[in-house]
Amino acid sequence: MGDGKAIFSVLAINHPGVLLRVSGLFSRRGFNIDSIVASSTEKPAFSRLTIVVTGDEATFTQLTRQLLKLEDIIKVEVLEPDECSNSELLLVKVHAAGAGRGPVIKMVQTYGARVLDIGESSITVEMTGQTEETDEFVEHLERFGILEMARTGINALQRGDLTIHDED
Amino acid sequence: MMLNGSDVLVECLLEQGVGTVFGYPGGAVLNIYDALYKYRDRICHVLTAHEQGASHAADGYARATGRVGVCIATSGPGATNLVTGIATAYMDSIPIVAITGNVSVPLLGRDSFQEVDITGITMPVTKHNFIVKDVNDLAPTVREAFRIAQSGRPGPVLIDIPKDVTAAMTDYEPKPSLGAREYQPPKEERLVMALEKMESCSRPLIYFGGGILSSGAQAKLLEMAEKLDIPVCSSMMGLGGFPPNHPLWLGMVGMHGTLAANRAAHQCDLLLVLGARFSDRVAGNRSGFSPNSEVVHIDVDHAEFDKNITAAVRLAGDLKEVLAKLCERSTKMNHTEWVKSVVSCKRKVLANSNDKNALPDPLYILQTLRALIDDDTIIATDVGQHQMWTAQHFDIRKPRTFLTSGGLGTMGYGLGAAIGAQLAKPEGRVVLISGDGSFHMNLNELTTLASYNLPIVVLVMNNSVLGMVRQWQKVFYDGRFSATDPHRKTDLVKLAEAFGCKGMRISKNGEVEEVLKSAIAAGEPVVVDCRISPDANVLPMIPPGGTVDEIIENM
Repeated sequence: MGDGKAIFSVLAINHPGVLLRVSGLFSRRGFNIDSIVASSTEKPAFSRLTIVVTGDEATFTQLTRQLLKLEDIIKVEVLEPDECSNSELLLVKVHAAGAGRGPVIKMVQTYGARVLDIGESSITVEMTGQTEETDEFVEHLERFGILEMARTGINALQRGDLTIHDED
Repeated sequence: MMLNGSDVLVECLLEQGVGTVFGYPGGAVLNIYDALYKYRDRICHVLTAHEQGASHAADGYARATGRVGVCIATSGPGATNLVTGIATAYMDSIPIVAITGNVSVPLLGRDSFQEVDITGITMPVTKHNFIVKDVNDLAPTVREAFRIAQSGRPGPVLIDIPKDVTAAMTDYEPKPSLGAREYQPPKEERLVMALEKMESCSRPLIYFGGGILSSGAQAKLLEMAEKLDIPVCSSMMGLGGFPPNHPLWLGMVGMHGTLAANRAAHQCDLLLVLGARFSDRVAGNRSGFSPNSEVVHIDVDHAEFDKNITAAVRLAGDLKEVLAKLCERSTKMNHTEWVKSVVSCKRKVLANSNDKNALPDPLYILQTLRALIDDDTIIATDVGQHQMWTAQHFDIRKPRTFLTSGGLGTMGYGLGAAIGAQLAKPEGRVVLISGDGSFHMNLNELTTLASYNLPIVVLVMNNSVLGMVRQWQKVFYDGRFSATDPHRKTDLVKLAEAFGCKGMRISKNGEVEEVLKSAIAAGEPVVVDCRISPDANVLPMIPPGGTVDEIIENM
């Protein structure tokens, strides 16, 4: 069985330490986290973790069962990256001085990104999108010189009307 | 009514029916101990020599009774000293609630005196843990902690309470115990699948673990094994769950299991796994273990399915309920030829006791002890060769009479566990079988035996070496005995006497019966120094990572 990626969408009780419990479980049992996002939800009592994991089907099943053993975890949905709405946020500061600014701004427009800040010799850009598209954008920016960047990791929701609150 | 946090805590313990707690006082729990003083007529606090002893005592109390064991320690080192005991309980799914004090809320996170992040430290070894920063949350938290500890697959829960919370006032209303959560009923289609497998196989084997004991399913297990004529083996954690004199009993399976059980596991075409988890001490080689069978795995914990060995049928639920349903719906079967073939591998191991002047044979000591005590006697062990000899040769006949650290393999577990069991069953008899290595780890608890006059008999299988590790060095490291011969000069008889216990010694076979008889009759704490040979080995043995094909029967 080959390794693939899955997006774990995890509904948790909004207790302090829940992120530590989840990340501790991953490291203790040797599961690999590509990215993890924790955020509040429409219900203040709950928080939502979106975790991208590399592994095979057996790993994903075992991980789901282990997550559900944690007292603070309410629900776990495993989403296929290609079959859900997912997006991540990129902030990147690119070298752009004088005549070099034009091509950077053109690239930003091509990818539907947005300029957040312009410095004396740099431009800070924001982009949201799927991981592959973001990777591609970053690759193009590299030739201008990336000064620093930060990515949030993937956030995801199921497609259609279904939500994590629905019964399976 | 308005009470302070400490009184609320003790009231909540009383709600849960807790009559005995094990602990050690300190600065951060002074208020809690003040409440324990106030409530001393209703709740008995047992002071141990060390917090680790208290944690093992809570564990022993829980294993012996099935009820939640409770231990209390102060902040910082008091809390960290509980960790080994909590981890021991976690690995063996034993329900305990550990209560720790901490520094007051305004001092948290400032590296205050005796401050430690015990919820952080114990996160990987508890089912769940809490820090209570508001006294209004205290009662609901304690109630929830007990509920979590007992529900589903049991386990330890820790509650950390800062000192100011133990002093703050709150309105308290008593509430009845929530008890454990209801079990999810087993899924009908899974029951049908399991029944189909059971009815279509020709060489079935039951392999059960501690889950049978936590569920109290031993009667149903016996009924099913007899009705379907299935031979039975267990992990060490399962011992006591099936009568050892039964014709279908093959013994313990795994590294130090019997040849019969391991052969049967290798040959069976259906492995019925009940409340067990295929630890590496059972299935040392996961792909080579039971290679010819389909697995029907029944467990209360979904996460055990396919964790180590992939199952054909996964049936989640409480074993007592599941086995009752399977029994009721299955038809009587016979596997005469199969049973005959697996039972024929059973070997009666004879103790070597002919030479009355020779060093006592540990098996002879165990067999003599077996004959002198009744089936309700609780046997605690430490970890090592003595533990395996006990598991192999001391017929444990009743559930919850064998207290041993299985998963974590905690040397030094036994004395604390024996204390817990004796306080849980004041009229019952408790014997600790230890080794000189394990005993040296926590022998400080002899002082607790003496203080509370607990008539526990402690047999120390004293070969003056760290026998199990030494045995491995003999087999796998060409006899390079690195750090396993400590040259200790401890006189265990004098040591016992110094602690206010009785000390006895067995130096040869001819003394075994007489000394054991007087130790059992003493009615006070006794340590028996059993001088055995350093070359006695635990056999048979399947090397780690090996299968029954590589079993070592002689060395």
